[in-house]
Amino acid sequence: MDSKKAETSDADLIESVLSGRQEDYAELVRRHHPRVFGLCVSMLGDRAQAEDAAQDVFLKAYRRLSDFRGDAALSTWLYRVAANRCLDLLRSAARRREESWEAFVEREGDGLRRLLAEPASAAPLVSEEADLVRRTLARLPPDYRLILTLREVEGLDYAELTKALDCSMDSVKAKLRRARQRFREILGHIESSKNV
Amino acid sequence: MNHEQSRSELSELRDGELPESRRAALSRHAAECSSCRAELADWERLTRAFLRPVPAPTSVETERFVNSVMARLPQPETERLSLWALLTGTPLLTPALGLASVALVLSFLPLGFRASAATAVAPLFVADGQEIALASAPAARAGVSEAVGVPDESR
Repeated sequence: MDSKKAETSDADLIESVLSGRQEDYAELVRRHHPRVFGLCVSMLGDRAQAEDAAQDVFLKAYRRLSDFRGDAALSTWLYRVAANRCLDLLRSAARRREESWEAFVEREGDGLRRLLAEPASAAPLVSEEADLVRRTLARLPPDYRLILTLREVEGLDYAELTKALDCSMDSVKAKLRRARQRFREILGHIESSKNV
Repeated sequence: MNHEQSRSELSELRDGELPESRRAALSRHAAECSSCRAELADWERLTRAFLRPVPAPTSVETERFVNSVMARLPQPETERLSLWALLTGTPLLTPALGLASVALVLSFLPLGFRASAATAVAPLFVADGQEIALASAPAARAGVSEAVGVPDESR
């Protein structure tokens, strides 16, 4: 990696890319790949699908780089592009899902309860657990899943959320409240299946 | 502070986004209200189970990703190798081509016109905004005259 480029600001690299030095885009991709990829994995739950989505994000961002006005950090703007890409994918996947909560929890109740009982761990989930997490979160509306992921996993504060989601502060607060209420219903489904 | 009002602000309390004055009051309420405490505890439990941070990609994975993206970018418009670019990008080429052109033209002229033509075309020798010395320097003019076989009148 070119250490001089690594010290160059995002704004200078963008200007350089826009003036025709396409190769400087590599440094921007290198710099922002971990966060964009992380969001895509969190949202989509599948690393291969997340990699494809993240590539789409950086290709779209390249085409629209001249639209970036610099009123937010580049990372926040990329989150917005990534969020829209993931929402598209999740919405089309959600249309294919038909299984009821009852059937899902009846089949996966033991695994879900194990996940909830585990203390927080830095170790990555084994693949079966990761798959169960993915399928559980897939049952949340994509918008709720997105805002919970941006807040809880990516750690965006409310001001950053307004920019990443292109909405008002009141809208961010209301969406988070509703998302958490819906998120909590997962517990209700799991607990009720235990009592049957 | 009533319960419903407090409950509506629990989400902001969890996120540390409440103003200081509201935070103190809500924290006091939550400490006494089992329903609010349970809601906060459930969110924490669900978040730990289902919203875990993703392991960061390794530097090797990132480099592979960078290469994949760069390979998919649209190719920049190739810079056309125009005569203009060639002329402006090579400082000595312009006068050299000018001299060669004049020599070529003069070689086709009848002998009687050559001497006057060499003088007449001299102002055309302008490169990069500067008139080169051919028109004014006798030595240079003599060099051209010799090259094209024309007697130098200035000698």
